[in-house]
Amino acid sequence: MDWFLQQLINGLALGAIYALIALGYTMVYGVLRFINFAHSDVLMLGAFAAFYITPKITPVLGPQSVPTAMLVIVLSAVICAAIGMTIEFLAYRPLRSRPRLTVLITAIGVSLFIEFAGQHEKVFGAATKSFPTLLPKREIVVGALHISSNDLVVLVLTGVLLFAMWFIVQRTKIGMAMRAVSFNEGAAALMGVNVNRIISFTFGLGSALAAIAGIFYAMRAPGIEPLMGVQPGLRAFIAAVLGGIGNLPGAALGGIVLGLVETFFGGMPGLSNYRDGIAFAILILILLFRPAGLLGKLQTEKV
Amino acid sequence: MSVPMLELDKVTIKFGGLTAVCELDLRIGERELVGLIGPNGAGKTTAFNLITGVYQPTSGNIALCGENTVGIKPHVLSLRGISRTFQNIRLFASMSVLDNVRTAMQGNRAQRVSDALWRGRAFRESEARVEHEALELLKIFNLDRFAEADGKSLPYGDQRRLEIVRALATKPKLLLLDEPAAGMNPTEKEQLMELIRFVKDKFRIAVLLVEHDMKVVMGICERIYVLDYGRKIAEGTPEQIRCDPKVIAAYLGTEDEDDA
Amino acid sequence: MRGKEKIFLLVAIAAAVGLSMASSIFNRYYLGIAVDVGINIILAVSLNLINGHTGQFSLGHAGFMAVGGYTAAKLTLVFGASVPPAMQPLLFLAAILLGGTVAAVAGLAVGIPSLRLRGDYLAIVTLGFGEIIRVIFQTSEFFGAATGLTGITKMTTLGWAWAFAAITVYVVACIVNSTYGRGFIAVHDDEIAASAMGINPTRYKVTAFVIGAFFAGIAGALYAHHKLVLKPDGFDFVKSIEIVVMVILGGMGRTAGVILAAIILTILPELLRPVAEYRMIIYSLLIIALMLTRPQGLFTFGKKGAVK
Repeated sequence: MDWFLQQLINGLALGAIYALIALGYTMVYGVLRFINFAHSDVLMLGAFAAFYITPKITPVLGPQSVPTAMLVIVLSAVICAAIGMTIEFLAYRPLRSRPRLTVLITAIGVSLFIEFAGQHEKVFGAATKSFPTLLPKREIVVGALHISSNDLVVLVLTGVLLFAMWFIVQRTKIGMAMRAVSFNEGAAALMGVNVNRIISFTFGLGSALAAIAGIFYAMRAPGIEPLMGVQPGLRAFIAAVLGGIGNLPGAALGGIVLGLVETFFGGMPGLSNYRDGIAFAILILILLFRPAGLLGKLQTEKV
Repeated sequence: MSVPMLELDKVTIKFGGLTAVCELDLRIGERELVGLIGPNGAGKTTAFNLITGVYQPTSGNIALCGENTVGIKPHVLSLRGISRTFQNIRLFASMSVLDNVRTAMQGNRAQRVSDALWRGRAFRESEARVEHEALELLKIFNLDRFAEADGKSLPYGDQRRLEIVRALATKPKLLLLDEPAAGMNPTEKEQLMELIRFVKDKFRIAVLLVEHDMKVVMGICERIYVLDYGRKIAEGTPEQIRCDPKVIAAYLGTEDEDDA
Repeated sequence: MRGKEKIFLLVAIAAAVGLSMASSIFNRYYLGIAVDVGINIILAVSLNLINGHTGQFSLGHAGFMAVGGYTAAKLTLVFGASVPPAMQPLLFLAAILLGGTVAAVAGLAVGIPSLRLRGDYLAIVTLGFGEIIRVIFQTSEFFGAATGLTGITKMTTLGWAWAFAAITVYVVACIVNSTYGRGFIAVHDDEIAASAMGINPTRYKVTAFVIGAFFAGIAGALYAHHKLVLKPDGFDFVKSIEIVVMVILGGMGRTAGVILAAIILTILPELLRPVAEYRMIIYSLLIIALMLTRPQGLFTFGKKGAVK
């Protein structure tokens, strides 16, 4: 039972991170009908942004303190939001009218560019760097459970962010515009929605979430390096598909489910080697048996 | 009448909460030219999709020459003798005019893979035969001079005719035409009417025609079915349909509605 | 001219074998690159059948290559010692064909589930399959796990590589440039119309996958006996992308263009050796630039499916 609860907590924390990243994938797919392969690299950029910003902030606000952490997170998110919007503007917007596959390949190109440029000595360098401690790490012991304070922070903050996302999308004017664009871009434009602005905003929002997820991920992982976004990004994408691509609650649900499944598998002796493969197996099963995802609706082609 | 070419028996299809076609009974005999009309959204194209196997009915039976077709895939139905054109022209965009027709012939099993690989005499013969037949077919419709041209570079009216030629290349028994007159001017429509009559006679096939243009429908159809909101509301000869109050009401509304 | 395709094939194979036998006069380094070119042509042309002609966007081609490579390598590693030198070429041929066949089976396994998927989704599933194959090899002790297989005998020569390249081009071009081959393109252009005209989309898609995978497996077998070491990392998503870029650069569906692109993209990294550290950066920028400016590929001569 204790083992179960321990895995549950770990799984939820991992799932929360996946959920944040998955939201970005799904939001962009919702408004543009395309999978932003470069999303996983924004995650990495968020972690690196935090890496470089923290030493500048700590002299002022003190090391390992809440204000430091908050400022670092906010700044990284803003920077990555800007980066995301820039990528959209330069690489995706010119291809708006092209077949989806062209943009997909461009996204792959952007992703590879960020990864390989990042690995270059003059940028980040390929070696793993040690992520600075943003918050004092304490272990809370409840019975036989060891809960890391970091995990708690991740869970709480993700909950807040998910609520914020829900609020933005469902209760604000800009959220309504986002939903309109995702249903029918043409009609939305005719109703006076500035489609370009909304798409930019969506990218910015998604990238900000990815950056925060990247920081959370780095807090739990031993170190950061330019390719760190690839695996979590792929998992989060699978989570988005699992929940139903284009469906926001689905992305959150998919993220949590995947995080839990992966953690439980990783904790079981003998099966842990296959932890990496389990995510892909889930992907294939979902696309075979329920391509719309858990919460999504299948779109049929009109003949 | 012996076994009808096509028979729909209480065919119903529901998409979630929407019943697109409800208990449709329809019969087409060999070499009959039958029309299917109705206001927009009445379910005409859905009926086509049911007949060609793109959709499966929720209930009811469809039979071609007495054999059940429900559950059979579209490409198999094509082999059995059903062919069609589409409301929004669906030519093979990257192929030439000739190749569009060649493809339909391959649909009818014109050539074996092994022949294509071995490139021996069998291959040369099948290629020659296909090309000859395709050109002959195109010649009948005066499109052979465009044989090497890109399908989509043709004028609109010719594209529609190419789609019909392509459909005929599968040697069908029953041809479904989905709004072939759409976007045509009156002269072209006259030519189309001639064409459809000609096709029916020369190729000895049955034709089911969906059309909005009443002149075309009344002009060539031997019998007409009228759909409204997925249900058959009338069936008969053009004269009968023309005077049927239910049909008039469906298209024009009743007298009460005029006052509103 | 009657049977010109077969004559072309035989001439190509003869030339390949002839050059190969005289290969001692060539610089070893350039020879190695020439072999790479041959292997990449096989990969690009086989993927072109799936992506370019049939329009199924497959991002897992490296997986099929891995299957072929590992199978063939395992065969020669196990049986190599017990086969007399005179029979070695026969063993190699058997290994290559076995690799191709097992890869074809993998192609079947991937192709069938992928049938109902379109565009983005198909790309992701094939990516997923490619990754699963990689993970399987990474965790399999039989295949050397993460260290992979080492000590493979060098058996791939210019002759082998280019002969099979010629065969691949022949098979794919013959299949596509025929009335039968119109089916692939029809499925690509409009699956629903193709269906209505009697073309079985499922059959054509699966056929494309199986044939494409078969030749990718052959390429993998040749690769294994050229590089002499096989590691799972070498067959990852990036490798699949490299092959995809060749197909795109060549103008999806144009066999001649794809061959040219394969040659260029194999030689280019060697030319960029002085700036090797920037190689992948330039490469990724190339992809972006290509998509933004000329997504139809650089070599858009000839109709889809035309050879030379």
